[in-house]
Amino acid sequence: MSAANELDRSARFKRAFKRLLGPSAALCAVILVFSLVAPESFCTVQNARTLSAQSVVVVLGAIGMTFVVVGGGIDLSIGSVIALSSVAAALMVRAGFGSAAAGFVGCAVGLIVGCVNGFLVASFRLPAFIATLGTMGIARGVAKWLASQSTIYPPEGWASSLMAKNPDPAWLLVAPGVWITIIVALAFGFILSRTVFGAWVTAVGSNESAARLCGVPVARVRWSTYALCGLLAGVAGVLQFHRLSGGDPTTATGKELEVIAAVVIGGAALSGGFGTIGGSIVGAILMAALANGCNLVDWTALGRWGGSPELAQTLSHWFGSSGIPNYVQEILVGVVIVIAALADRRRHR
Amino acid sequence: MTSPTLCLRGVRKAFGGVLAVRGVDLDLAAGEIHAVLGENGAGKSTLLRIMAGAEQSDSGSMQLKRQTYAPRAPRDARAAGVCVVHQEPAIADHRTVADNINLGREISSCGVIDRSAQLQTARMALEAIGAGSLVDPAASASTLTSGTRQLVEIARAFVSHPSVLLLDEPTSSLGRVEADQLWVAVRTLAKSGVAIALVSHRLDEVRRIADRATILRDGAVVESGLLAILDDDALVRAMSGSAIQTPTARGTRIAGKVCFQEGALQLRAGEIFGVGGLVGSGRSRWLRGLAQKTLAARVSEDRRGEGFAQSLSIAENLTLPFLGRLSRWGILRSNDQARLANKWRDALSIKCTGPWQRISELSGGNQQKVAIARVLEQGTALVLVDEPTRGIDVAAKAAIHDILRRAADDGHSIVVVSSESRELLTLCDRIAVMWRGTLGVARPTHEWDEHSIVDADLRGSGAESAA
Repeated sequence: MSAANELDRSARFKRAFKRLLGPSAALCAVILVFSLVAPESFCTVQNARTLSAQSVVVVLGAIGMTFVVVGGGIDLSIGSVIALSSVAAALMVRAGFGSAAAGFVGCAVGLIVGCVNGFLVASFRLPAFIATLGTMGIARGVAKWLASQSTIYPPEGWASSLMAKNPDPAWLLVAPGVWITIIVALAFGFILSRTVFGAWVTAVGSNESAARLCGVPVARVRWSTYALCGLLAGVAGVLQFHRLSGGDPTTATGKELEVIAAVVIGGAALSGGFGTIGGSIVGAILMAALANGCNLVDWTALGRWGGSPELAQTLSHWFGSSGIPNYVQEILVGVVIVIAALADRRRHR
Repeated sequence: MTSPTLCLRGVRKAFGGVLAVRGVDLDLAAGEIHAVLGENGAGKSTLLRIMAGAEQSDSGSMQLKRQTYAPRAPRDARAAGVCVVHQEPAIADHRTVADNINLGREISSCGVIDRSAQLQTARMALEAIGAGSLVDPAASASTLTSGTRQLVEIARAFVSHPSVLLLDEPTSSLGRVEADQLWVAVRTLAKSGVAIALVSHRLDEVRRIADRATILRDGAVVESGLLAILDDDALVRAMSGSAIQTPTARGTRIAGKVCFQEGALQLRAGEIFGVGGLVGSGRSRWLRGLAQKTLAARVSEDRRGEGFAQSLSIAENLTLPFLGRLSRWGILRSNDQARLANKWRDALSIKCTGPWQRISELSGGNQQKVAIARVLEQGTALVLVDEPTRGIDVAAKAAIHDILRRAADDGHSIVVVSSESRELLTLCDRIAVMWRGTLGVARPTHEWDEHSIVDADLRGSGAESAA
């Protein structure tokens, strides 16, 4: 028996890979369907750029949320933190600071809220759902207060191009913010799967008392997951600010649910102990693709690739000539979440 | 004598190949309090759960009032008139006592609960069991003491006019006065014609309250009869096993250096120190305290709850306490994790497909081997093991005993807590028995036998000076 076989390196990756199969297949199916019903608008390089820029916020949030969820918690404050940090960054720019300083402050604001969450959950042992529900309200309120309830449009700086769909050096292909997200994803994927910290997070989420028995600093680990989630929400907020060229205190309302849905679709167990960064990202892109594609649907295309013109006509009569209305999108997303949860249930049986 | 209310004939139940109950016959007669006795793991609780519908027997039959009785769920048992009072009363703290007594059989019209009728019924039930002056039916259940909670459970059973009442160690968390109040209530029920089965460890209370006793050992009935005929020694002998063999204990060994000392308790390197006692006597709490004081590695009795992260692999669980050692700059060297897991797999012959197999896929015996590997790899001089072989088959049991002996030979000081007197006698060098929170005198194994251990379990070792 060879040494490699003896250590059975492949077995653990096989397990994670199997979990990724379902969400990936779903993502492919969604892309395929939209490529058929919206061939001219969905399946283009330009739309790929738009889609990737649209995904950034949810992907970054989902990376942080994965740590929290794998550690057995939940963070509802993430949408509000995104708004707060984008307002903070906008205020900094308006006050005359450079883009770098503004970005730093935006991230720091996220980190601070994350630390507060971690403190409440790990040190005061509040239920995560309640603690982060509280900070969700507080962060949103503070954001509106700081911004005097309206969007702040500061003068544009060099960082405004961070989320430009057509990046300045054209060889970047996608917005620099997308590259930042990819690097963050790789780094945190590595941290979760290959480091001591990642192993501790998983162990705490899987069985807290077993982790404590083994000397894992449970409270510190739990605290770190929230701090990290806050920090990434801060990064997402700064990028959101650049994407909208303004700090909007009402942005990302309800984003926390989208992020949690992405993590669940990606195969993480809400009871903790399992989840991958890769899966969560697939889940996040799936959500973004659904929203993006629904807006681009062109019913007349159905007729062109062989569907009956009558059907196309009926559909456009119901839903309007282009695009699927919001309420249908909401139904679709809901259905995807329920299917993901059912798939998870089956896996555990 | 009329025919018994509940008859069990040849009831068998196995859990994963281990027979918990092997062909038990039991008759519960109306108006009689029937004690079911036995050591921990003798099958008492399983038998009770089968009667209560929480488990289904593999074979054998039950008859309730001459009708076939085969409850598939606790609900069926309740509907048939079989009620259970659990060790931990199931009381909804946020409701009133009256609500709790009528829980599941609310008095209502058109779906609206009739509060005054409920209160009336509750008051009548409490008075009937002699607790009318002790419990106010209108009070919130959160104001109940542990003793009065039991009374409320009995009142709840009374309201449903049961024909059989099953009591599972109802007094294990009660003081003497509270227990006496409970017995008044139980006797009232018996007088009204209910057949009562009582699982208890306290010989003195069994003697005071019960009419008849059945003694189980290893899942089978070894003695049954009127308590007036059976004396205490006969009971203890039946519970511990009449054929007391002299176990092949470890030879006397040269004691190593002292690893831990507190009061008269000394734990030495190279020694296995056994702690007996009943479940609930404070053994596990004592062991947990010892682990905190000495930072010793501990194997928990609760593999599922405290032992392992079930969703993780063997290697991940095994290396969890010392990941720092297996990493550089915080990055795990998974090959080293796997290598370590393989080392212990070979050393303890753990049956698995590889280091990355999920721990939850292993058998209980193999999981226990991983747990022991984990504490041995931690390298502390003192190793604490709670119930090393609970729920494990005979072959794995022998293997785990062997592992612990070898570990002691390697210079570890090992403390084993076990409910099984035979395990203590075969495995340990010295034994002490925990009785109601205090550890009895530690004596060399050859001064103990099964009889004296069971006796100390039930009545204390006599001199309860803190060991």
